[in-house]
Amino acid sequence: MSVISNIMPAGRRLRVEAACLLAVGALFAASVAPVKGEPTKIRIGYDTIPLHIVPVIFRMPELQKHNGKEYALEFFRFKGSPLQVQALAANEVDIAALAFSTFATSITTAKLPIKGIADLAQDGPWYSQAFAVKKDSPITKVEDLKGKTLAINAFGGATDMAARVMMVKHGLTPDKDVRIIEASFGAMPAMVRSGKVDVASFPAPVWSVHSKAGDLRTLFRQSDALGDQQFLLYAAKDEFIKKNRKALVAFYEDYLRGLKAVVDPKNRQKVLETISKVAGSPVKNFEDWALLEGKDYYHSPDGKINVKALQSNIKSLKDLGLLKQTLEVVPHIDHSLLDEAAKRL
Amino acid sequence: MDRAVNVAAPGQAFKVPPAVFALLRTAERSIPVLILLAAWEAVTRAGMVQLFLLPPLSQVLVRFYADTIDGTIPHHIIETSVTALSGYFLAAAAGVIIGAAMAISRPIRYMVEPLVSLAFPIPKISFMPIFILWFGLDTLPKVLMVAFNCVIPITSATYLGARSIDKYILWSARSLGTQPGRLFWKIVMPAAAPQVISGLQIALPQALIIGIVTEMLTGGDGLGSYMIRAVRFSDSETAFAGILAMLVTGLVYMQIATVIRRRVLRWHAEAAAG
Repeated sequence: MSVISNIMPAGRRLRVEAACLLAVGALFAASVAPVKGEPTKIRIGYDTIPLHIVPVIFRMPELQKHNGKEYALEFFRFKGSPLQVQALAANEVDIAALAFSTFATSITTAKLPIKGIADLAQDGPWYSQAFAVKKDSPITKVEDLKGKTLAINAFGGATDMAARVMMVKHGLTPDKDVRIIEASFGAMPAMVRSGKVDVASFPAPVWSVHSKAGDLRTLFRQSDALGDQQFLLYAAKDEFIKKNRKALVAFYEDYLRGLKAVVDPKNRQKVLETISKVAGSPVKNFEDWALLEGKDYYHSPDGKINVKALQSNIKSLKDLGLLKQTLEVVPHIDHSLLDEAAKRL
Repeated sequence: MDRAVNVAAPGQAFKVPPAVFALLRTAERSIPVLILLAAWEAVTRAGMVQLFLLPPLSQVLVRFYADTIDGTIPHHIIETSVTALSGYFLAAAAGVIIGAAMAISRPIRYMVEPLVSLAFPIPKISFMPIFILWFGLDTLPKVLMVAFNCVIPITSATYLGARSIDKYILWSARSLGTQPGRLFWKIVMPAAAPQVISGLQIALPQALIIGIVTEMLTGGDGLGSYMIRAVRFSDSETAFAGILAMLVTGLVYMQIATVIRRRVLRWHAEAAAG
């Protein structure tokens, strides 16, 4: 018999217990419910800086009007886009940076209800990712890759797909004729130079630094395989877009303003310093190429996806048997957030 | 042994053939697994989870069957087995020799025991980038990583087995004039065999696990590579079919190890105890 039951009649005790339970429930509900007026949290996936320019833009508070008021950003780093499909499916990120290939497989294979909402980077119009060998390598053409090892950053990503397309176009069977391995972009120059792999892929940040030594030679470019590509694009679940439209429009308003500012020559020094901080690498590694025409990846100024290139990239993969199903991309693109955001500028 | 089993209540005794009894016992023990599998199918069919995160069991089985029939899964199982068993046998040879040497030689024990103690708790897979750096990306670093992982439990088991022999047996053998070499092969190793084999059995699934993890990290063929590629291409059914293939391979490995243990130790008291 408890102390309470000794000092309190049964009916009153029940009422007190019910009141306590209600109070605890209310406290719990208050703790988990978003506070009114609190900005909407948007979790974004990213990888190599400044190819992924968004984390740079949003480290410059003077470029943003609504950050911290209508939305709050949280960035998560991933190695390659395929892992972001899993994160998107598991609701661990709200906006994922997907390659054209993973965008297709996440809709056709994983059956995720997503939309492509904005451009992230395009390969071809300016810089195109290099696949390079040692300068003195006997590999002088794609056919010479038979029996060799090639490094990409993630199976199923844009870089992997471009390499596979190139192999198929030159009569090689990926994985059978050429061993393909995953490695981080940062490790690739050392892997090529030490002979651990014969050829590796070099995104602009890595190529700009390591090509200067003169001991590497380009074997082919990603655009040789697929032409201009919608290399990376932002995608979000339909449900998230519907529920958080206002916050997303505010976010893209700030993004478009920021994108215009970071390519403006008068902001260059400040932008380079921010890139350096976010990437954790000295300014000198970025100053002669980052965000410069022809030397860095192309970012669409209106933030829109190059739908024609995206459709063409996916069709190429299907035609060469690298994707099981093709995808009609138009129904899966939603530029309405960008359109609304552009009107508010 | 042809033993029938009495499963009825007193007064209603009837004999069940051992094979039938074993079948019934297996069926009974499978009930929790079957409940789990049924729940898996039901949860996915009811749409309670995203099919990308957990595809229905039936679809996984269809993929497993298709990839088995067309030779994909058997090919990857063979690749993984070559890697895992090469490393395992390398570790078995080294581990038994080192463990036995530690048991009989004080200087070797002095030199090796601290290293084994130090290496035991380390997550050895974290050495994989170093192995890649030293040995490249082909089969060699995978085999050596498997061996590196398996050699410690085998060494420890052999050492402890050889050290824990009843000293009276050793004294008796010595007093009868048994030479050290003969003593080791005829007394020490047979007496330590149950523990040595236990160490080998513990290391076997480790060999498979490490083999698969190294394939995930370095590419090439094998179950690890089969699964990681499926995951990267958002193909969950194939990834789960890979898990099923791993499970089947592991069960076969363990079953073979149990049979070998029974055969090797058929003279031992544990065999007599059933």
